[in-house]
Order: sequence, then C-alpha cells, then structure tokens
Amino acid sequence: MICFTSTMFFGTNDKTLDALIKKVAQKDLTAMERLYKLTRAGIYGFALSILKSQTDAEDVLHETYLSIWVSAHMYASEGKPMAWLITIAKNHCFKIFRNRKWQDEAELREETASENYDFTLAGEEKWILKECMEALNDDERQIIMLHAVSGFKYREIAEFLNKPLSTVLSKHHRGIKKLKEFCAKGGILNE
Amino acid sequence: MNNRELEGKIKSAVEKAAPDMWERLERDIGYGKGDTITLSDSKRKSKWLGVISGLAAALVLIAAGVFGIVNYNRADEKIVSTVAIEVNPEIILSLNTYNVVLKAEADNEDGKKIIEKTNLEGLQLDLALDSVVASMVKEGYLSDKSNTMLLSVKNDDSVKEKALYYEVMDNATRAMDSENFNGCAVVQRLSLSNEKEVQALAERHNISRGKADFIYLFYKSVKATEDELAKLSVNDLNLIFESDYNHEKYKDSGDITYSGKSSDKKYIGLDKLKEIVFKNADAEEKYVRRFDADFDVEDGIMVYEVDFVFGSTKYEYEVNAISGEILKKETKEYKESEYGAESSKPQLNFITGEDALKIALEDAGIKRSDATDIDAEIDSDDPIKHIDIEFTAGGYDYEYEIASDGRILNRKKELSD
Repeated sequence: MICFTSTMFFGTNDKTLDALIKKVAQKDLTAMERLYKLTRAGIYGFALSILKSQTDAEDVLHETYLSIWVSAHMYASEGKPMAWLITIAKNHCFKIFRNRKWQDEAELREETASENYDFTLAGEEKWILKECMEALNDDERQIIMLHAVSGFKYREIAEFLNKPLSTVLSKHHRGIKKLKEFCAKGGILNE
Repeated sequence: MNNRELEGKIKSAVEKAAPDMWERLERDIGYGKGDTITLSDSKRKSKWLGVISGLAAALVLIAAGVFGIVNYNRADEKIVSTVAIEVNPEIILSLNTYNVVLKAEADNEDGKKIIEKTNLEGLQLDLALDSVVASMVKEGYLSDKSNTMLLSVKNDDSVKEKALYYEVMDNATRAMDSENFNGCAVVQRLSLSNEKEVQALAERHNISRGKADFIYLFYKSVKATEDELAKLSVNDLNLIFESDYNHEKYKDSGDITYSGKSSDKKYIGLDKLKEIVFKNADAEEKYVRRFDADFDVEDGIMVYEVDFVFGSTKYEYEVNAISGEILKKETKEYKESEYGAESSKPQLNFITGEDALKIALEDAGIKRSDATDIDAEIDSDDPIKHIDIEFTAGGYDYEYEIASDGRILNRKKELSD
C-alpha cells in the first residue's frame, strides 16, 4: 500500500489537488485546466523517464488527462492525489510498452536515441535533459524525475517503485553523481 | 552546484519541455468524448458573451426539454456492459460506455485476492485486463499447467456487445503476450436464446453464469455429465471443448472465439499416450490408422478416449490422463465399409486452424504481422486428415500441411508471382 504524505507538489498543497480532482469529477472544466497546468510537468517528466521518447510521453500526457476526466469521480482522497495521477500515467506507459512490443522490432531498432527526443530548450537545460536520458539507467532516471520533478519524497518513491529505501537513496545518489560528472565534462556545470 | 540546484535545473528543463496541449485536451474532453460541459462553468461563460451565451443556454434547455436529450455526463457513471473473467478466481468488471471499469467484484475467495492486489476501478478495460492477467500470473492462478481464461461479455445492445467481444479478445491476448505468457483466452457472448436453461444449470451446480453458458454449449455432445463438467477448471473444460469435433462450428457462430491452446501439461500428453496404447496393442505407430484421442471425464477424472486401427483390428481405450493407467480397452474387427462414414468427421482433435498457422509461421520463421493472404483449410479428402495452410511473406508463397497432432507433413516455399 502506498502511503503518501508529501505536502507540496510544485508549490501546490495536496489539498488543493484533492479539491481540484473533486471538482473535475463534477465536470468542472476550469478545475481540469488548473489541475492540468499544475501537474502536467510531473506527469510528463515521469512518462519521459520511463519511455525515453518525447512523442510517447506526449501521448501518455494526453491519455492520462483524458482518463482523469473520465474517472475523477472514482478518486478516493487519501491525501495522495499525485500518486493517483502518476499511477494512471504509469498504466498508460505500460500500454505504450505493450504496443511497442507489437511493432516491428526492426523498425524500433532503426530509431536512434536522438530521434526519440530533441528538446527545444536553451543550451544548458537541453544538455541536462539529454544527459538524464542517456547517462542514467532506467532506475536512476525514474527516481531522479520522481524526486526532482514530480515532488515525491524518497520513501514515497520507494513505496511507489516497490524498492527498498536504501536502494532508492543509493540509486539517486549515483544518478546525481553521474549527471554532475557528465555535465562537468561538457562544461555545463561548475562543481 | 549542489544536488538541490541540479535537481532544480532538471525540474525547470522538464517544465519547459513539457508541451502545453491544453487546447487539444479541452477539445477532446469537451467534444470527442461526448461529455457536456457544465454551463455554470465560469470559464465557459466568459467565452460565451452576453446574448449569445443566453441564447445558447436557452437552446440547450429547450432541446433537452423538447427532445429529451440525455445528460451525457451520466454516461460516465452508468453501467452498460460486463466482462466476467474466470480462471479459478472469478471477477466481474462492470463498464461504462467508454469501457472504463466502474465496479470490480469478486465471485469467489480467489477472486477477492486478485481484486485486493489490483486497483481496477477507474481503469480502461485494456489496462484492467493487463492488471488482472499480470496478477493472476504472479499469483500462479495462470500457469503453464493451467493457462486458460474464460471471458464472458454482456451488453444489451448486440452491436456494442459484438464490438466488446472482439475488444476483449484482443486485449486479453495482448495482456498475456505482454506478460510473455503462453495462454489461452476463450471469449464468449452470453447466450440469450437459452437464458433460462443456462441460468438453471448455473443454479443447479452453483457455478457462474459464464461457466454455465460454456458448458451448455457442448455438454450434450460429450460423454461427461453436466455435473462432472461443472466441477472442472476452465482449463480442463476447454480441453474437452477442443476435443469436441463440433468446436470449429461453434467458433464460426460468432458467439465464442478463442486464441491460444489450453495447456495439457498436467496430463501425460499425446506422445506418452501413444506410447502406452501402442505398446499395449503391440502396434507399430507407422502402421496405425485413424488414430483419434479426445479428452473426456470418467468418474470425475480426466481421461483420454482413444481409438485407432491397426491391422484389421479397431482398438478403443480409456486412459487416465494423469497416471497413464489404462482404464478400459475394447477391440473389434475393423471393416473399412462399416467405418466409411467416419471420414465425414474431422479428425483434428488436437489443433485448430490458428494453431496450425502458428506452427507453419514458426517453422518458416515468419512473424504473423508479416504474413499476408493467409488461408487455412481442413483437408478431409486426403488419407491423412490435415490442415492446409497458405500464406505469403517476403516475396515468397508458403504452403504447409499440418497434421491433427501438429506434425508438419509437407512444406513448400516458392517465389511469389
């Protein structure tokens, strides 16, 4: 059982997200828009960390909010709105994985990493995101995204990913260290 | 640069990289999904200024009053169809018009365990089936010895029910595939024409409506009694169903379809069975004719009903499917003229056309998605009954003859015209 107690997400109180989801359940479009604006980066970052593809992450972002619109009335507030949203996104990520399996593997092999994402960002941020995709392994990337972008605490990440807390901490530490080294080599960050 | 600053930069980068697709989303949830938008919504009101807003609202109200237009928001919460899943755990998913699971209920204790481990309510049907399959595989309810799921769909609108029926088959197959699980999915539409009899059968044996429907389909054409069938697992039921020579006919009815093949790994298997009966009959396999083996139930245990001809003798055996013990044996003089009529009965008791195609594709090293012009036909005229498989892939035409036990009798590959 996931037990989230984080109070802030993007500077937003969980109670605010709770209230927004309840309004969305009543088909309040304004609340939906606010929920979307407040949480889309967290959802997108999480999807990107799993799928490593901008296009797929965009699809997950869209499908996740369609699902939220349709099923918000079934949300049972337990003080963990972001966990609910991320779980829906995770299910859509799995759906994409499943669809990928049905694609021609050769076709997938032809796609190079750089073709899956080409962030239109300024130099430093583009470099950092690129290194997140390429330098980190899957676990490290997911943990760092959940912590840095989705606003999860370490023990919440451990519960969400069903990994020991010590593993999450060491993978996070290792990932951050890698990023610093890669960025330093690229002259992006000064230690 | 400390960790917090680095994470801050990552967060900032993702915030900027995340596309703002609100307009597309607003369009899709507002129109594409058929939901009405609340007119009290302040933002919408700001877009509908003054008189136009008033007129629009009035028109909606008039239309709703005069034409009885339903509030489509309600469509989210109304149960319109059900999908009952049965392995040993029994789960019933109630869906709204968008195939979102509104309610997930267990029909037995094992079903409750699965429901507790999955959070199905609120999920789209495909994701719900993914979760159920993954959980059943993990918990060992679906295994290589018992790999069959029975899925029964129901919607009062027959057109929508048919669409759901195909969607469930597709989703269940993909869900098992994504678990790398070699499973068998049997999907059926609940019978309406025999509803009373089926319901009575379900009540008599305290079994689910879906299982009763499945049993009702074929119980009259097998030796096993209704009571014996009711006690079997879905996997064993399907083994018997596949043995019923009518099952191909049912498949064409549009009320039942299946993918994969039920596992017989709990049982001795065809090779061992042949070894046992041929040894007992002192028969050499290459001279054996008209071999046929079907699953059935005798005194509550799964048995193979075997018959074959060797020399001028017809042998009939009943073999315990688990131990291999010969339970019954009969022999009689075989006269071709007396059994001539048998040729009208397909002898394909072990594989379906789909299985034969899989065997051929695997042999050719061709993926199903790459094969076109696929044709499968039972050849009953040949002395050895088999399925003719034809397909085209990569510029070649392939032809296979697959025997009823899955052996490849013949293969041909030539450049396409």
